[in-house]
Amino acid sequence: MRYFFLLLKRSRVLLYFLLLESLAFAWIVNRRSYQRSQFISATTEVKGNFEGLAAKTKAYLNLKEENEQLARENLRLRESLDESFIFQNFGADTVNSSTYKQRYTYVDAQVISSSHFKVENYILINKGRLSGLEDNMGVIGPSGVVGVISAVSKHFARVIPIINPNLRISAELAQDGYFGPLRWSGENYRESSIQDIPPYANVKSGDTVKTDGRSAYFPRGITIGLVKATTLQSDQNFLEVTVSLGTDFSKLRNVYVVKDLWINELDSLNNSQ
Amino acid sequence: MKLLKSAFALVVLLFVQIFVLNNFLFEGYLNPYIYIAYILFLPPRTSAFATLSLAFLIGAVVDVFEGGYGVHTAASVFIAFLKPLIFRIFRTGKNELSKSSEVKQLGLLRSLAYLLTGIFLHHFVLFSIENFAWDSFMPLLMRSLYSSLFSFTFVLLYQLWNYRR
Repeated sequence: MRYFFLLLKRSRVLLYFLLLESLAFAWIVNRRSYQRSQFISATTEVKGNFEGLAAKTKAYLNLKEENEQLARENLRLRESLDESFIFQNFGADTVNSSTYKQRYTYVDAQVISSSHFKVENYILINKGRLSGLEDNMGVIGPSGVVGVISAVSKHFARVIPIINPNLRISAELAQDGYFGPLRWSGENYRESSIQDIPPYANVKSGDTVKTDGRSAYFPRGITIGLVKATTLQSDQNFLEVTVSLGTDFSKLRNVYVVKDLWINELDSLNNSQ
Repeated sequence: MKLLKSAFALVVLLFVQIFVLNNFLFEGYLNPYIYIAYILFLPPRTSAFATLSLAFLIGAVVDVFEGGYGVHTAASVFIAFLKPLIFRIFRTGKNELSKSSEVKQLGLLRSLAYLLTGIFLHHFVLFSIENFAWDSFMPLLMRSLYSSLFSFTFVLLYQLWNYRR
């Protein structure tokens, strides 16, 4: 027993080191717990207040480019308005507009801090619970999908962008309709890849990649990016499609949060036995 | 008084780290982590327990503000543990541990090498834990190397400013 205590005394620095290291690793491993999300919500508030200040000054420097980007988006939206189409009724049937119900609404927000060179990137935006934001709402930008909200505080929200390996969304090749999970490999923030596309799919570089409505975060048909290349997966059975992303995360500023008005109905259906 | 000064230096260092370097410079890819220099330059007589505890605290503070969840804590505790070993590598052999600082004991050139080694090891451990996989080893190594060179430069700038004060 004496020798045991002697040993304990001699290796006390090592033991203390191991204790601290295991605490740190426990922290790393438990990152998905409920306590963590509560904790993040609190620190998000503090950090958001600080960085909102810095982001405001930064915004003035980018005003011109942002305006151009928004103007381009306005143009695109205007083109898709009803008044940009000719309505041709051939007398066969009538369209009852009351059968169309609104499913998605949008909340605009600004990015106040973001990273894109780390492996696990995150974005903070300047709207939170008070603006009606909740976890798992989709976020899109002027030129494509951005990510999904992972934590909200009173005035701020944290977004997991699609350039974070922890987020997987379902993506669809707009031309032939094949779909697969979009997952980021952690290397280049301008590229991501879709797995499990069947080898007989006729994928050409330059094809559009869109959301397919299977992951509940986004409406169908929001641009994700363009096909860059295809390679055979290591299992030799499926194709992996490299996508160059539409959103440039190094200059992202204005985003829209997607609110699905029917989410409760869908959820209750999904959770029913 | 000396303790107070050291604490103040730590607060300044952490503030610069969290609110300046983590946000604006190089957009994260070459994110310099200068807080580790504080641990490397603690007086050699500081007890191992104090060094480890301090490393844990500093790492935790950086983690909380950066959303790293223990990554920085693990890396800086690791370096605090290895510190005597790294120091012994660059020691000339004849001089015993004295009260004087690392720089005085090692001489300028050796202390720069000591600092660079410490920073590189810290970054390598940090990025490894962040990746949680070794499958992209070369990019990891290059990223650690470039980032540690950047951190090294920033630490030198910081020291310069500190000495002139």
